[in-house]
Amino acid sequence: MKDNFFRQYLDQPSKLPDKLRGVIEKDYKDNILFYAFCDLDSNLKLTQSWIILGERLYIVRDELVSAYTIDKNTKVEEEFGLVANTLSIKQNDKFIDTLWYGQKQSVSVAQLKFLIEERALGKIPQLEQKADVAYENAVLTPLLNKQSSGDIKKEQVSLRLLSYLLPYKKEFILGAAGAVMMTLISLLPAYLSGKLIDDIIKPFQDESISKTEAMDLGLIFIFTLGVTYFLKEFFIWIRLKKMSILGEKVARDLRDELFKHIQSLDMSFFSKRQTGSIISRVSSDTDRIWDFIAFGVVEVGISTMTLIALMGVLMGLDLKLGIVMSIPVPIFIYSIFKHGNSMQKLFLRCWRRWSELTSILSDTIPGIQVVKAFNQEKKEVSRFNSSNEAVINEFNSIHHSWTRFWPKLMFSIHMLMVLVWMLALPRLLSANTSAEHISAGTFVSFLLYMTMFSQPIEVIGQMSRMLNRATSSAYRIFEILDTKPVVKEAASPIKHLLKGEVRFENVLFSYDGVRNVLKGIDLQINQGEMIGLVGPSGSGKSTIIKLINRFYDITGGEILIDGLNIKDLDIGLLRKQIAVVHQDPFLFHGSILDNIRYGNEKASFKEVIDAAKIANAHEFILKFKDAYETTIGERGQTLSGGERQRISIARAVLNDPKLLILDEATSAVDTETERKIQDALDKLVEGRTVIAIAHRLSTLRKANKIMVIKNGEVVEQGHHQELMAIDGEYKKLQDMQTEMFDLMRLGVEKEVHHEI
Amino acid sequence: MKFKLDKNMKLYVKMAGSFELVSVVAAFPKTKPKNYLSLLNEKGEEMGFIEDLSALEASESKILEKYLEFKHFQFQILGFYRVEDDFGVRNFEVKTRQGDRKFQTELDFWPKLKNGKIEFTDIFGDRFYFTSLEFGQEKVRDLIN
Repeated sequence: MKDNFFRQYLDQPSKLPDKLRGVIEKDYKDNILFYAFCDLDSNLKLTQSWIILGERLYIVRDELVSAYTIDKNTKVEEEFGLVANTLSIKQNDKFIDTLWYGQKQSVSVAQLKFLIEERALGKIPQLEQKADVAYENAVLTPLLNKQSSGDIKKEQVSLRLLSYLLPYKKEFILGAAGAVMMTLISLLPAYLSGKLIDDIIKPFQDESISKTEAMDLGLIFIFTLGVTYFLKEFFIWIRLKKMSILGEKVARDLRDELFKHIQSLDMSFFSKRQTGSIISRVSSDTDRIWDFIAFGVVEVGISTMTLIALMGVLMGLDLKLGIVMSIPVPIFIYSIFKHGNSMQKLFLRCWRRWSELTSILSDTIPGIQVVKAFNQEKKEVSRFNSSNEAVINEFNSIHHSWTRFWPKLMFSIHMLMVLVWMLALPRLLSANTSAEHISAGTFVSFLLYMTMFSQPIEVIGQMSRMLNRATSSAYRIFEILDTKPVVKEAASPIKHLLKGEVRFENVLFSYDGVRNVLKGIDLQINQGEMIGLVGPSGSGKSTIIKLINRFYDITGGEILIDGLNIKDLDIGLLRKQIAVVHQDPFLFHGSILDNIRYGNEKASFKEVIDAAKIANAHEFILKFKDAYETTIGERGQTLSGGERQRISIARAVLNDPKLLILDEATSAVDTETERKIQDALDKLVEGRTVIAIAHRLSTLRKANKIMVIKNGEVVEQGHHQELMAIDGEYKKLQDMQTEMFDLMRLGVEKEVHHEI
Repeated sequence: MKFKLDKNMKLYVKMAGSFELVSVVAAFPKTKPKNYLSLLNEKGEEMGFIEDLSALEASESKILEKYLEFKHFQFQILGFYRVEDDFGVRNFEVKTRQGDRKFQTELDFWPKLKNGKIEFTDIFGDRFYFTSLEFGQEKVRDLIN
């Protein structure tokens, strides 16, 4: 299976060639631990080079092997370009070799670099996977994330969509039966009309039957015709009723499945996609599926069946004219199919434009305050207008394509009818005894069938448009449904009740799979301790707390919670026992009560009030007319930053977390509010393990230990006093803050002086 | 400011004293690849800034340009053999100046004309571009905005 992926999508071998493996293992008597492929040469041309790690390091170019010893004087350095990157080997501070590679190899090369560094430090790298598997995973993961099943073809999208009908077999069969009956009955009126002319009107005109007989027979025919139309409408009603409800049910199932699946996806998925694009897949794309199920599925089948039946009936009535009418039908259908394929691309472009438009909305509406603050309303209106214009242009291109194609098709069908008239006219006017003669009744039937002929072709044409819309929407839905979460639950997850001990052992982490944001972090947080994390922005502090929540999986090392590997724990239960108070807390649209209860819906009113009191939120909540039942905006915009913060603390209190994470919880508020929040936090931290990230170092005085993080590494750790005694990063940060506060105080004094 | 580029594509700069290893990062690599260049030392600290490459001595700017060729390298597409929508990805088989290559983009990715080039970024982050094609223009016409 994986070999297929390499063959189909990549330009590189699926593993290290056996011949090369033999050379390393036999000639150099070494065991291969890891290897990576390098696809560029020093002239930036495509090539096939290998870098192999065993006891020694091997670089293979054009089957020539260079072997290098790895010791404490060995260093490896990467340099990144837009596409081309280099991995250089340094021995005694001198560059001895360099390999060039593109982005496709960057994950495996980064992993190899780490292993070389481990070996240079005298460590024996331990790998969970064999070299072939590790290489395969490193190269294929980005592709597998996008393309979970390489064997699925476009046609299978429709089949997969149809599989959603299976739970509703009964409704589907009833709806389909209604459609079949409707089709068969639709053929009757034309036949009856021909019979009426040939068997009643003509014999009466020839005086072979009396007027009374003709009237009696005629009334029976007309009555039968009436019954036929009634039955036709009855079966149309059954079909529409069943299929449209069925379509709604399938669209609902897809929406449910999609939303549930989106909830299961990890943060890396959301960080790579725009909110608008995800929203449009759940809303408008599932809506288009309704169209497909309600009308598309049966209509196409019925129209095809109708066409075949009509061709049979027409040839039965008159073989020659029937053949003339039938021969071009496959050409019409083929042209519809071809046109449909080109429409598919246009539709994809349209949905893309539509997603861009909704993305602008989901960007600007929540950020309206910033838009106004920077007086950017005109710019945003113009951005929206141009995106809206682009949507119209794309949809217009669909309409242009459609309106160019459709009249041509219908003109061809009508020309065919003209041809039939031309061929039939001499035969209608010929003598009754002539072998070529065609009766008026037969021709009337033929004409009526001919008018029916264009309808199924028209339906297939319209349906192909609908099918294209639906399949392109289904494509986009399945694309998300097939995205597998990178953070996976263990096969038998441990339902562990946290005590609160956290340990990081040589933890490595990279968001992009290449550059390590955390470079071998070691942390020990004992139960009930408060740990402060400080350091410049982008140093990796927030990443540490994301990893404790297991929003991402680490790329190396181990995280142990109460001595258990975090990957073995039940993810949901773990997160439930950890509370994070962010700098800018997110509150949902709803009441304050709902927001405090979020995460613990069963909490009693008394518990909610107690939690709000601990969070110093109770009194300000009571100032609202509806108190705890006050509805707050989409992002809690009717509340101040400090108020939102205190509601989020109440939410955390109610969850009774064993592990509390404070992510710069007081950095966005004024001094008075900070005092209230700090007071609330002081109550909240009692008896819990706390990890606090803070810019204001004064808030960490009570911490048992402060860790200074810089460039993804712990550079200092100890108590406040201990760290101040070292003339290091912490002291530097402290001095900077003291200086800043002094300046601010001076500014205030100057202002006061100026006012006096 | 003197530059030296070794066979390992390592760039050294001499500003005062001896040559020091640096990497160069363009602040606007797409629109101004030869302007606003930051010289970073091994610690990632900025030790120099070049606003305009052409303001340097010709011999120095030539060295720097060669280095930037590597830093800003992208595969140049000469023609499209095949473009096909697959499940979840769009598959391209192309002839590039560097050799034949397959790459995949997301179905949602639509290349745009910018700075006179049509650029593609594949799902691995490799970048491709073309300005004119020897063949296969019709295969990508519908994709381009």
